[in-house]
Amino acid sequence: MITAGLDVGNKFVKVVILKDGEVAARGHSYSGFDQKKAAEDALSQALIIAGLIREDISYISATGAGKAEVTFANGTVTEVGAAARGVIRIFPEVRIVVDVGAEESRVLKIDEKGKVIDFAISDKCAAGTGSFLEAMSRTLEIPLEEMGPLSLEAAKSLPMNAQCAVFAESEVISLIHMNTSKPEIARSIHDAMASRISSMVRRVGLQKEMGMIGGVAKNPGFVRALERDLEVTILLPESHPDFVSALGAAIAAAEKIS
Amino acid sequence: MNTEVLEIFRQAVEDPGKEVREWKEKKGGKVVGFLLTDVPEELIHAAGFFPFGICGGTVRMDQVEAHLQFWSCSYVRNSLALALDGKLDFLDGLVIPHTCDTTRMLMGIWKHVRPLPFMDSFRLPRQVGRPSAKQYVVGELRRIKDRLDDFRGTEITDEELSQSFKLYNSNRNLLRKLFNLHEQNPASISNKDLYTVVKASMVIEREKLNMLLSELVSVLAENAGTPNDKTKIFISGTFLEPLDLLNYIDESGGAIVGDDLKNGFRYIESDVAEAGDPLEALAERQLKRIPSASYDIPENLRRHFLVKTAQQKGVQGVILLHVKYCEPENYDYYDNIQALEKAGIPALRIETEFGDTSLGQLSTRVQAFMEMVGGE
Repeated sequence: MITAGLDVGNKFVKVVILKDGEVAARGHSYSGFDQKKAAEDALSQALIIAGLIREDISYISATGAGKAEVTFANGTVTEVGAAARGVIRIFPEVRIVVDVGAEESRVLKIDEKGKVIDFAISDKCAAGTGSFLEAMSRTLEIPLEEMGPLSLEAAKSLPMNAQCAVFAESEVISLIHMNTSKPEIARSIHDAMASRISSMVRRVGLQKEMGMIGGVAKNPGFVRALERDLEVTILLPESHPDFVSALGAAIAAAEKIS
Repeated sequence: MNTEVLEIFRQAVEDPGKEVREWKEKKGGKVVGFLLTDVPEELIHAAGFFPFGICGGTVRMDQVEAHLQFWSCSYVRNSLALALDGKLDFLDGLVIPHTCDTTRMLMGIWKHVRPLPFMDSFRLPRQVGRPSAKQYVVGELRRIKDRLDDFRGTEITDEELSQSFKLYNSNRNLLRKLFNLHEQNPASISNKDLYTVVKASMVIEREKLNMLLSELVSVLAENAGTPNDKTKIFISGTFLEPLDLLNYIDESGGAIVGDDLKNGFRYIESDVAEAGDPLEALAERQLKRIPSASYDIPENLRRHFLVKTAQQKGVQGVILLHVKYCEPENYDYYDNIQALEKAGIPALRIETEFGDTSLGQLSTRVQAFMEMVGGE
């Protein structure tokens, strides 16, 4: 049985092709303006890697902010439902899932079957998301992927009060003018962002068995900041944390035809 | 379900000023607007005026910024914006229920920027449970009636009041039938259409409304009922806005079986007694309405009402719908969520705004919640 899960995010489309329960291939593309085309591109890419053709796929499930755009999908699954399915597959012991994407962050509480018991989703604001980190990396003139490792070099963090990405940027500029070192600023940024996510975790209920997925899980600086704030150890997927929801969508697709 | 009569209600919501403008041109009467919905509409109607519910709409917001900050109540901002933009130019009068600090202050601003021949606040008591409350409300109703008498030039008669009570009770009775039909057989009318009808009922001439509602109820009742196997949802909040939010509940297989909204079931839940002193009857109805955030009784009856209703109706999830930035609603949140949690009833809090809201993020939440409480 072959199914595909498409996670049409605000920034990237992620595709997972699942063959008899195993990941056969992944594909990804920029979401851009034409999300349907982006989804098609990502799917074609994954098909080539898997050595399959479109007709081999029995069911396609779409999730993510742009899921409705993927008109060629057979069905959709909610973002929360896809994340829960993906997480329970890779770490069955996890009960609290932190999912930080480009424009939205979510915290899920799930049971041992992967059923969502409660959740929190960030408000219309970028300050606790990947886009915020991206904007800050531009201000600091550091490539995005270096932000996390750089922040780990800092010994201390400075409080940032701004709750808004736009105001936070002017705070960062003030820190630059005060000759604060780049590692310290980077750490302050990650700490400020982590505090927004931890408040969502607390709202849902903190538990030790915590995992993180989404593109920002690739940032060790952020993961460390969140661990410090919540005093827990966060489980991370061995690879591709940004593909977990696509995996979950592919699993949801398999449920549809079994 | 798509009937011609339903289309009339949808169009009334699409262009709320259309009906009233035509009425005014044809009858030459006066229109008295009101903010939702703790107002004695029957008094306005008995005076022969068209009571027009200001229900929000798409409007430019730049002019209102000069008078009300962005963190003020979105409904009040939207209403004033409609007035400033000339979208309420048919109004001859305005009654604002004094339900919170913002509605209290709005009258002063409105008088300053868009003065109308008749303007008054309906000053409601907070402590609706006190014995003195009824006496106070009767006095307030008498004051408003006297002013309406003056504005019309002749006194509103008991006969006129009695006619209006009958008509409004009939309207409400028909709307309650509609809610009941929806609850028993959600396939008969969608969530969105149901609340569209409630919204339209505030902008359609009352006599005509009765005919339209009778027709709708009889058309829908003809359809054989299928049992309600949808996910039962209760909506708690001040206003239901935007109506498009209900699409997500419809699409996720949910049926709203109760609410405490000013523009929902709370609007039509109870009638005015047709016998006895008319002003006392009006006061009685106002004080016994479904508890709202505007009431401030030490025991906070609202949370008990929420839990009791949810349990009675077998509600699977409660959506706490907060219109930005309603202070009374936000203060009630803590008590409400605690009571619901204790009763084991899942709840989701979402924030919305009047006017054009981006629904993308709301859809994520509502869909996820529906999936969570509906089970797979």
